This record gives sequence, C-alpha cells and structure tokens, in this order.
Amino acid sequence: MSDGPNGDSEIPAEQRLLAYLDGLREHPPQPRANLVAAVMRTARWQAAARPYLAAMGSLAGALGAGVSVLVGARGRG
Amino acid sequence: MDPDRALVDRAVAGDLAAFEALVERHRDVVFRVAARTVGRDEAEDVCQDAFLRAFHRLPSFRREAPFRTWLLRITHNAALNHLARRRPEPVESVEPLVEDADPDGARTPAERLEGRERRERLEGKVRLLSPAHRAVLVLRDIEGLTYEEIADVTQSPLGSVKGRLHRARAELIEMLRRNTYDWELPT
Repeated sequence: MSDGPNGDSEIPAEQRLLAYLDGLREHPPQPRANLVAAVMRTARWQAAARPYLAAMGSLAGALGAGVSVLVGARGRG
Repeated sequence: MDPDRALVDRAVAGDLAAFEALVERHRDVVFRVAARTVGRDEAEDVCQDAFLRAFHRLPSFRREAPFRTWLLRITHNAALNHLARRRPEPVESVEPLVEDADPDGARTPAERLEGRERRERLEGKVRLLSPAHRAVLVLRDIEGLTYEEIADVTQSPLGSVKGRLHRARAELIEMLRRNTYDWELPT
C-alpha cells in the first residue's frame, strides 16, 4: 500500500499517477476575485438580521406556548 | 499553535473584519477542494455555503483541530451535500480551452493547449471517482494533507482513509488505462 505522494513504497503506476496529479496541483482552479466580497455581503446581513430572527423565534415560541395554555384551559373547562 | 487562533477569537467575539481575514486567507484552498469535488462551475456556491456555515458555527468551534482543518471539514460536507442534491454531473469540464501561461516561453502554443486539455481530461476522470474516494485522493495527492488531517476532515478512521486512498488510486489508474490512449502507466 502507498504511503503518500512521492513516498518510496508506491508501485510504479502510482508514482506515475502522482506525477500526473502534480500537474493539477501546479495549475489550481482560482476563485473569482469577488468571492470574498460576496461571502462577506451575505455574512453581514445575516449577522445584522440574527437578533431580529432570534426575537421573532422567541415571540413565535411564546405565542405557541400561550395558545397551548389557552387550549388546555378550555379543554379542562 | 493554530496560526488562525487570534483571528478566530476576534471573529467569535463578533469582529466581522477578522472573519473576512479568515475568508481571505483560506478562500483558495476551500475553492480548490470544492472545485475538485463538485466541478468548477458550482464550486463558488459550495464555497459560499461553506464559509457561511463556518460563520454561524464559529461559536461552537472547539479548537480541537486547527481552524483550517475544521473549515475543510465543513467544505467537504457542503460539497457532499451539494453532490447528493443534484443530478449526475457532466464527465468533462465545459470550460473553453485556453492556452496556459508560459513565462519561460519554452513551449509552443500547441503544447500549452495540449497540456491544458490533458489536465482537464484528468480532472474529469478524478470526478468520476465515488465522492468518498475522490475526497481522499484530492486531499492527499493534490492538496497534500496528512492522513490525520484527512481523517479529521472526512470524519473517518485513519485505516479507512488509507484504504480509500489505495482504492482510489487503483481505480483512477484503471480508468486511465482503460479509457484513454496516452497515459503511460506501467503495470
């Protein structure tokens, strides 16, 4: 079994394959220049919206709990 | 010591500039892993998904592994989810062929074009491997991660990583021998 790239225990075919794969390593795909800006734009609005979303979640939870209390009280009444 | 630690601490405290610095620092490796897993056309979506997942999960990052390894784990999972959601991918890249840069001027335009075309065919073959085999081959033989890092990224035992890598290489060698005419792979 192989030990890794350019290790000494690889079979000849693996050594040749690794040489071909080196060609891929030497020519890496590059992201577009605006990738960071796109990530940060989304991160910023999500960070800004997070407290509101959390508040809405809490409100929805409280409403749900209130409704279940009312329904429970009516059921017992 | 994790070289990203200070930035991670600041990002966890809500410093968006620190998070941006982390994105800047790791965008290339995240993009490369995504592109070699899902193809270049969809790699940016996977990249954005991975960085935003990391952004939201930063408070739960326990620093048991370096930030880069943790981020690559998120990228790996995002890429696998992406593959699971979509139809079978095209075998070859649809990008137009353009000549490689050749700063030394040592190769003819035809040779540069041939080199590029050959690499694209190899990338196409790598993408024919199963996602599990493709991941270990990309992380080890192209990105140069250690076995331990790959075990962490893929959340697999070390023995499984080594076994998968061995099978992935054997499968790729077989594919190249069977389907192409100009790969010299000794028996």
